[in-house]
Amino acid sequence: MSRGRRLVAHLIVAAILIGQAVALVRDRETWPFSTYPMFSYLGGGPWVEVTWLFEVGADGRERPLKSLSRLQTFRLYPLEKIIERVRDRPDGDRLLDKALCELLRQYTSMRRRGEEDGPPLAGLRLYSLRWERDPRAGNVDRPSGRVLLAEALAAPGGAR
Amino acid sequence: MGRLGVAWERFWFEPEPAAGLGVVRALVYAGLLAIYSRTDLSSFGTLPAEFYAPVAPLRLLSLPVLAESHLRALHWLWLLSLALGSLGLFSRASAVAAFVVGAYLLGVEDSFGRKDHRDMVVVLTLGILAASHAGDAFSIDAWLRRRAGIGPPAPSPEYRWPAQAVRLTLAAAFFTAGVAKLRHSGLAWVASDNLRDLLIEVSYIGFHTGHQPNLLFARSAFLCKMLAGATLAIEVLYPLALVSARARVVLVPASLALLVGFALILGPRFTTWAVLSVVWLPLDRLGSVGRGRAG
Repeated sequence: MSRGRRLVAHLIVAAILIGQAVALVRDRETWPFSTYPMFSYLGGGPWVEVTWLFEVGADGRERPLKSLSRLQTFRLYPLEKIIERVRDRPDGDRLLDKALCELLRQYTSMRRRGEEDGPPLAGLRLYSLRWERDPRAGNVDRPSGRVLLAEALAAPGGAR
Repeated sequence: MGRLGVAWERFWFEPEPAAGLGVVRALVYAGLLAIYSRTDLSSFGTLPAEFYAPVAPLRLLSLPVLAESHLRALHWLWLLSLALGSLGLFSRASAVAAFVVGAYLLGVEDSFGRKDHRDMVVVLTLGILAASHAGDAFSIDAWLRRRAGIGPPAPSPEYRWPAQAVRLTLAAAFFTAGVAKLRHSGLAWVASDNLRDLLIEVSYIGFHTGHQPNLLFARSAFLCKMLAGATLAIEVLYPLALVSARARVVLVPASLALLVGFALILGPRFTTWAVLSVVWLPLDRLGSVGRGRAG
């Protein structure tokens, strides 16, 4: 193994060690080095809050997002992180509304192109849902309350 | 060279046969191909710009999110490079492509707020493999060289340090996750009802799915504390696997069980971490097997 190759190996190992150490010490993610904070904070408390996107059907009924099958990020994960990031920006609430409008526009045009086979949507609404914590989670389908964070509604006749 | 220097040299650069690293290369690329061929990375090209907060390398290099059609083409290129990397055909070029394209695509995905951090060790591993000579054995390239009359490579440090670097990456990730729990919650992460509360909370996060195996575990406060203690112990002690064969025998299977547990009762699927764990296979023994086959 040549000296040059040995130097390459040392540089890569040093980059891994230093990158991870810096993330660890600063307790801040520097991609691709993370502090892996998932589930590291104590939970508990009487309330549970979850931010989730709902779709509004052509009949006006709301349901947790099931369409946008290709946009997995918005179907599979709680949205707190991404939403907080937008709302923290100046004019965040308006940006959030604008983003939902764009998402709805994308869905509608993908549907027209045959790339989405979901139903026509009349809108999207982003809610912060709140439950009183039940040890058996028997109330998951009945949130105690919810706050509308943003919404996008299709123009009349635009949800086809 | 002092004792520490000798230990450092032995840890990273003790010569090993090429076949062990070749087997790791083939399995890692094949596993990642299986995982990411089922992920639609092109859809990020359709997301509103308001949701985009580029990760540091994309921001520093001013790399934009490409249009959906271009992302789709890149995704196919990445899958092709992973397939070629697994087969060991055009090994060097495919490894570099797998790293560069993969880092960009996974960077774009993480720039849209993905929470579970499953991809970061993948990026690091692809980088390590791109800089390695992992295609020297157990590969079509090696077979072609042999047909051309070129003998198999001799054992070399080149076939040890990349595997050790991937092990270090995994160890650092597990260890950091353990430290985060201690830093943010202390021993209360284990001693309190924290995990039980967390398991209940998962039901609310998945309120729309109706799938709640987590509640079976949440019934027993004692079981939850035991699981929390085991989780923390595995994560914090994982680096011992780097230096102790006995610890490795316990910690690596335990970490895989932990990943299965995460997927079943908490939700996040760290299948990529499980794939990368093939690096803990006894490569010296694989080396003696591989020499006789594709060497």
